[in-house]
Amino acid sequence: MSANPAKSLGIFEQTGSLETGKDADVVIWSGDPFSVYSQAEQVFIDGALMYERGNEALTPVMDFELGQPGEGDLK
Amino acid sequence: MIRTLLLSTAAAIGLSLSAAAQDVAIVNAKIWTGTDAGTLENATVYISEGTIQGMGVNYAPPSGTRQIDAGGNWVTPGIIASFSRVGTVEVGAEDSTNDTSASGTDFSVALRAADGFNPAATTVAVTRIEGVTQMAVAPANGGSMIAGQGFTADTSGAADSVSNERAFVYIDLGEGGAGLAGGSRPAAWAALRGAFADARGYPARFMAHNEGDTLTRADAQAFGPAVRGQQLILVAAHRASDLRQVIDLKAENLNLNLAIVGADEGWMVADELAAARIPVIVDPFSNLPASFAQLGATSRNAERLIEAGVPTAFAHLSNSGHQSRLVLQSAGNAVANGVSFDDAMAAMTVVPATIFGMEVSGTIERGGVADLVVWDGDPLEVTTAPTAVFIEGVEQSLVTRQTKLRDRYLELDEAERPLAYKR
Repeated sequence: MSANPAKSLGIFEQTGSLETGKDADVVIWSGDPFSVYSQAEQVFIDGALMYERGNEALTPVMDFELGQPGEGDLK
Repeated sequence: MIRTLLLSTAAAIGLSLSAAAQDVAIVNAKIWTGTDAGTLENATVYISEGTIQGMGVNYAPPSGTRQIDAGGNWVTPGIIASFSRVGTVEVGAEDSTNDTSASGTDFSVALRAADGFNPAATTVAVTRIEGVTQMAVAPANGGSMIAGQGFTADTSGAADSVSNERAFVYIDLGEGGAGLAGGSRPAAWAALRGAFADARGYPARFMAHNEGDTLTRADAQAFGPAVRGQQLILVAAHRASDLRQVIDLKAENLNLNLAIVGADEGWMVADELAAARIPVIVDPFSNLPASFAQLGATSRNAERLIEAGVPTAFAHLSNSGHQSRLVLQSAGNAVANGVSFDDAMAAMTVVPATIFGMEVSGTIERGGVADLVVWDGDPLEVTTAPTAVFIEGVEQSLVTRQTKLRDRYLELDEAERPLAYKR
């Protein structure tokens, strides 16, 4: 789910593993990422925090959702 | 002479029974009972003659009983797939193996999904080895919003595995039903009211002609028990306004035994569902606006319904012919999103057993049917699996076509003969 697809896509030099010098694409998990109970708590893309669980300011709402039932609710 | 014959016959029956349903004690188990007893650590459960004869932390089974050491791991009641089409379809796209629906028939309520059930279908064993011992199998909608009658069955694969071949009538009152009724929700509700009148008026209104307002003579007869509240009506619907229509139907017909499957917007009418005592079967995976009836879909649906007091069962609704076994993963997701472990377990055991009036109770308690599963870890984790499955006290095979294919190709070596010689 990380290194192998990055190699297939030819972008393993930039991402796909946590190494000094690579893009800061990082997920912080609440537990074992293979556990059914675990959640992604924070998602960084190129070093920018783009998602934070429970933080409304960092939970994107698509145009489709605006003004509809369930707008901004947990997906 | 006759007496001797009777005795020897009884002895023969007794022998065959004991061979099928062996006495066994599962020891050193962490038992989720599904009762007020909660979860018992280091406990024993003793199975004999298909039922749970004794259990507890300090319980000692009769000496000489075969023992299975659970190694401190979980033992749970057999999991119930609350909405399934397992055993009624082998290859979905191959019509000759697909008995889930019929678009060319004139019948609706009279269609019984059990008539198409094949206990030897590969999916039955594949479902069983995930810890699912019982299932409610629904027909799919072909030409009518009233798909027909669903059944309950165990997953033993035995010829007598259907427990109730007329367990419920399945009706789509959402977008799908509207389309089949002619193209709108008003058309669907007019057809439903017509069907109720046909069933209540049977046989008198069929004296002069064969056709009712909605139903044929055979359908009107078949719908009788459901409209009198003697048979469950399972309604598929998602949108909050559709759910309110079902709540109104119940208010106008208090004797009806109604349950709803889907209910992605159930959290928006949770208090009303609870007050009307209408149980729901939801899929905790369903958290996206896949249709305009599901705009309010959210991962919090299950938590909010349970919090409001709605009797809530879980199912994995996608690809129900093959993947209803994934209900355990759905339940794990529900726990990750606010549902308690106990409520999630109940949503796959006690609650569906009650909704469908099953012979099993979805619990592990003395005197109950011995449907239970021994796990190698937390049953809701995707990385765990059953190590033993019992249905009515009979230990089940954990071998399937899938495990056989896996084993054949697991180790590819330089064999003298082609792999078809390897079993």
